[in-house]
Amino acid sequence: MREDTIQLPGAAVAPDPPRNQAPQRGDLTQELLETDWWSDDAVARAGIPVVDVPFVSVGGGIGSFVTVDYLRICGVPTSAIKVLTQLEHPWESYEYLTRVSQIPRKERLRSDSASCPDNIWGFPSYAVREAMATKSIKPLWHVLMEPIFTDYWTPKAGQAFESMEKEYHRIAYPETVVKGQVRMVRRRIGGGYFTILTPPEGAAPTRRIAYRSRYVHLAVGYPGLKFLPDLQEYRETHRDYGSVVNAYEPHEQIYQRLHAAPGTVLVRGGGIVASRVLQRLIDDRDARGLQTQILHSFRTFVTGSHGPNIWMRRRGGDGWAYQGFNYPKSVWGGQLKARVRKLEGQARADLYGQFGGTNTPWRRNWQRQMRRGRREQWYHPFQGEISSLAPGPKGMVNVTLTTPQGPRQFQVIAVIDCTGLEADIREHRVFADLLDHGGAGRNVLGRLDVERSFEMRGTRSEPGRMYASGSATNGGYFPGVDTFLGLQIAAQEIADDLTKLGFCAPLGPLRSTSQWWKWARGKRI
Amino acid sequence: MGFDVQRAVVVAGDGVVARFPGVLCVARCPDPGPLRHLLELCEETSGDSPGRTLAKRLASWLAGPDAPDEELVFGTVAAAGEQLAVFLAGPVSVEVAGSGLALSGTDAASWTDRLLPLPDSPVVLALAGVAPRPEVAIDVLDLRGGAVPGAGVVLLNGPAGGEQAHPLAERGSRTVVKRPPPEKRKTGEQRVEAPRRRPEMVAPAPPVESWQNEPLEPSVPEGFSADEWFSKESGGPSAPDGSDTRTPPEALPRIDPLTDPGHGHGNGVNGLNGVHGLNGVNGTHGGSNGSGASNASNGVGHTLGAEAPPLANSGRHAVLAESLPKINGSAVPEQQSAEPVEQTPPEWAPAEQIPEQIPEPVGAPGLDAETELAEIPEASSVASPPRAPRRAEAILGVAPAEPVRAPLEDGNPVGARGAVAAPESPNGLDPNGLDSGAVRDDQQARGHLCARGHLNDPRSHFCVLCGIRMNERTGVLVVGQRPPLGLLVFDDGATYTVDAEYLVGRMPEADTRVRSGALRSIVVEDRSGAVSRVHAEIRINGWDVLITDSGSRNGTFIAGPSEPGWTPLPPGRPRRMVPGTRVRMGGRTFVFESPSGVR
Amino acid sequence: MLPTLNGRIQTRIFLLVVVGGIWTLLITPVLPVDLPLADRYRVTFIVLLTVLVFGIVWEFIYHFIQQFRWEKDWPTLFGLVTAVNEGALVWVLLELGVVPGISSPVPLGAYLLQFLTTWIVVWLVANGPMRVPFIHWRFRGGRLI
Repeated sequence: MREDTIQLPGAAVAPDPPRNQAPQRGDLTQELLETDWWSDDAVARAGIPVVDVPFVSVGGGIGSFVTVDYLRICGVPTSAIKVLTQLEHPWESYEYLTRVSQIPRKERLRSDSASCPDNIWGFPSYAVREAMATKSIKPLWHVLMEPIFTDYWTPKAGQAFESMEKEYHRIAYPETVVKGQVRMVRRRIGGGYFTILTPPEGAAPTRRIAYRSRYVHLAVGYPGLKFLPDLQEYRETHRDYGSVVNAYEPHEQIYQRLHAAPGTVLVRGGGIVASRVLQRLIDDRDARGLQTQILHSFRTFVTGSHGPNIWMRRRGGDGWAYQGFNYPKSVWGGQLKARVRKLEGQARADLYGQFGGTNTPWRRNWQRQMRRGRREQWYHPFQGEISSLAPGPKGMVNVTLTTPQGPRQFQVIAVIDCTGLEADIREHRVFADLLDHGGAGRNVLGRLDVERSFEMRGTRSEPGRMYASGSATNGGYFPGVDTFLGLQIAAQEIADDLTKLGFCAPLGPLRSTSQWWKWARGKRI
Repeated sequence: MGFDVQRAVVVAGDGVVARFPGVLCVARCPDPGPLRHLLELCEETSGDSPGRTLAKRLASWLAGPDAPDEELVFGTVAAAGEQLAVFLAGPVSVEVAGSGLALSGTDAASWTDRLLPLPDSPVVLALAGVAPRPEVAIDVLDLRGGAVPGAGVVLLNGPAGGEQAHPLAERGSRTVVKRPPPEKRKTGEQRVEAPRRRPEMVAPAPPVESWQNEPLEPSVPEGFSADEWFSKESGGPSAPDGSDTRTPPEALPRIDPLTDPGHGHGNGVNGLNGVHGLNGVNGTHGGSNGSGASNASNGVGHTLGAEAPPLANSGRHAVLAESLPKINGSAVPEQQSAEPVEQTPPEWAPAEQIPEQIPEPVGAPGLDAETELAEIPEASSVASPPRAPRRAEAILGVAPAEPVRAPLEDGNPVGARGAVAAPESPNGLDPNGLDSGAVRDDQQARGHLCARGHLNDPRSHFCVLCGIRMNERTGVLVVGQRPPLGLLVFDDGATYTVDAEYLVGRMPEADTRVRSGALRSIVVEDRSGAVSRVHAEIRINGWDVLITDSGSRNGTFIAGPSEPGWTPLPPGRPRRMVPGTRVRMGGRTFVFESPSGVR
Repeated sequence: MLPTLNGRIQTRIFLLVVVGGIWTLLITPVLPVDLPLADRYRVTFIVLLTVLVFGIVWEFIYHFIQQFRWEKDWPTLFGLVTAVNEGALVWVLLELGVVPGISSPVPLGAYLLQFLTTWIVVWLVANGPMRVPFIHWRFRGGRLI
């Protein structure tokens, strides 16, 4: 008989389950799944090991990063924070999406110069740093002249990621990271919360680990894009994943096909992604002398300034609605922020509706390209909605659109859909569980209901608090949540709340200045 | 099907015996690495009828670049539909007791790969030189799943827990009977498997019930001697070629515990020759049983029958008999006399009948018959859902496994890796391919389901069909239809969807693989004539797309997404293509793109 | 900048008092005006006060103009450009002699020097380091309290 043991792949064998225990030790039991409030011994009975940590952040993306950055600057040690995530770096998810939607590192984002996820003060701003790095006055001049004489200045994607990486190391963020998938967060009898983490296979002896914490912060991003039903249906029925695509997924093959042979492309949507896709198509066309034809369908064709009253008029034209950033700028600290903060219920929803809607920034280079396209008749914007998609000969797609002028049919080589919708928060398991068992609720826009302090309403477990920030909280007292600055503003509100509770030191003028000085020197904290 | 129902008795030794759904494996290797690989292979392909797939995977592994050295000897027996797929490498052998069929890995230069008809009699898969010995409590032994030390395994036909004579015991060979196998299974595997197997083992409720109503007793009565028992079982140590443990004298017909009228062991075994369909699982044949059994009993005479005092068996057969409801008391005593027994339709006798049916002549003391006739704890009966009873439970008189709980929402992957992507190995063959367990024959692959139920590459962040983020799912690998993995866009605009494998060249139809339909063809014309007739192959391994140069004259060149220059592709070595990979052959190029975003 | 009316006024007051005050303290001795030091300080601070007072009035006007903008923001450039109108107004007032506490005429050069430098310094601070000690300031529309 062989004496040595054979190491088989997969998780190590769980210890023998005692009688009358869960089918598998260290996993969630039916009892745990069904109760809303967990006691320490229920978790112990299930054999789930418990780790105590005061503050847990779920998500690990830019939202978690910014919040942890804030708390670290407020003096919280890394031992008091755990970030439960599956991402390698906080910007991983964001970078993936920007890359596939045609904003690689060297292209510019749609974000203000003073929105610096690596710097809670916003000083020096990205423009100033770029000016210092490139030893040129251009960015400074640009920022001075914006937006009247120039477009809004925006940083390059690479600058944002690189600066985040520096801060990532400076605050010792990797020390707080725990890899795994969070399954649920439940309230604890006696205060605080249990966050259940599923570590990667083989990383831990049990299937789950519970983090017992007083404060929980959820910043899991949006559950994903929801491709429009006609796109999904086309893929499922015809198993053609390459011709009808969503701009937020890799779709390089379409550009490759256009390099190879002239073709017509239909672009649907009027947001920034559509602008970037158009820029890519037109840049390729110019650089390689292609004969691409671009059809651009808008569901709502904006022809000029539009708005409910003289105080709220947004620019528009040629189908587009123009707005510098995802939201009117004053949501990040000006009039709109103050206004929304005071509203409740339907009034708030209405205001969101007024400044919502798909829009794109006005950029001179884009305008020039489109003007040329219209003049030379290879760019055709029109109003229409796709009514049917069917495969055509030679790998083409037959598209039927309903337009104000009646139905139109085109044969194109590809349809690029720039209108993916974000999925409902319930699609995310953690949120679904919180809605069912955690006491969370929905706000006027159907997303997660949070207070002004970003505490999730209804989930309090004294003396603990559960916070949420990011796109899941859209529709609350603060608009603009799914932006860099929005995440920082949320982080500030959360840190203020935690300061009141005594978890972190207040960031008064002196402390703030000294911390800024440490940042400027790159000193690790 | 029946494969998983069958009982597997492990023979002690210095190797490893492993069982997975549909697969039984015996192996030995001083180095655990190849062993591990082998077991992973078996496990990935396990499932319903994995025989052919497993054979192909094993063959390609042994023939491939990372084949194990000679030190690894192994043999697998796997279900392949209505047949049994046998794969032997090295000094390992497979014997089908009673049929004379014996295969050995040493007969082949490379390996032995055969399909056997599903045998009725026990199948012995063992390392060379391993002689199974009869053991005392042989009926309790059963390896359900997992890997345990051992050098051989006996697959006993008939439902698990069925009363069967040990095939080797028939021949008077010795089997080392282990303690009830420590089922070292992966966490949660058993639980996950059990529900899955359950439906397969569904019997009409009555047979199961009565089976569990058997009066069984765990202990071996005193005075019982294994040898005696086995000799009787087998009709004596002098059973033909009893000394040769490798060759069953003749085919041992499958024993149907529920209909075996209780012939002498050999008889009993043979007796059920005609009643294949009658096993614990589908004992639905009515009157035919009787006749079948009679035939069977006739068959008895032909087989070992020589000295087949039913002794040890009798009790067992009595037990069997009791499961035949319509067997009248008289029928059973007749069984004891080893005469042909009329089998009556299998409505199962109530347990009480049994004691009556134990005739004195049975003689052999401490027959497990008696032991078996001890009252069976009621607890072991019907409370559980209809599944074939496990022999171990019935005999030992313990309560059966805990009643099935609904599996927790996220069950452990059935022994598979979780969502963590495996690193790419240098020769381009991604270990992930193994994890994903892709089957090249069809478009099935193992991946993760998104929240909406679409199958995706386990490494992808977003679902390729609906866009929802994939991080939501835990690492349960499921088998399903794989979506297309990407596109090949040629420099003339031609686009090919990668949901099948291709042969690229000037004249790919010349190749048999294209003609037979195994590969699709992509015709690439090049004025300069630099493209060979068969230039390269595009293959799919799991969720990866691989390109292999087929020994073309001018070579194939590849460039990664951000690489500026071309690197030549060594012929015959597959290289994984990531989205954005460009390939040049002659003067033509194409690029591979994929919506999954997995790099 | 993203000011609310309240914030504008608070910021203006704070900046002119603190930053403007410090700067005026520093620059007054070097102004090309032939007055004894004490008088200089009196004049410069009164000018500063005047700018402050009228500035508050101006802020109301700027707020009104801001309403016509969709973004409801006050572009950085405007902060510089408004130096013109504010400076002109205060100069006119000085010339007209209606500013209490200033009897003798103020030389243009000195005035411009003080006004413009103060303005630029204040502008630089407002768009620069102001956000470092006061982290809530820029998210509250410029409110300090």
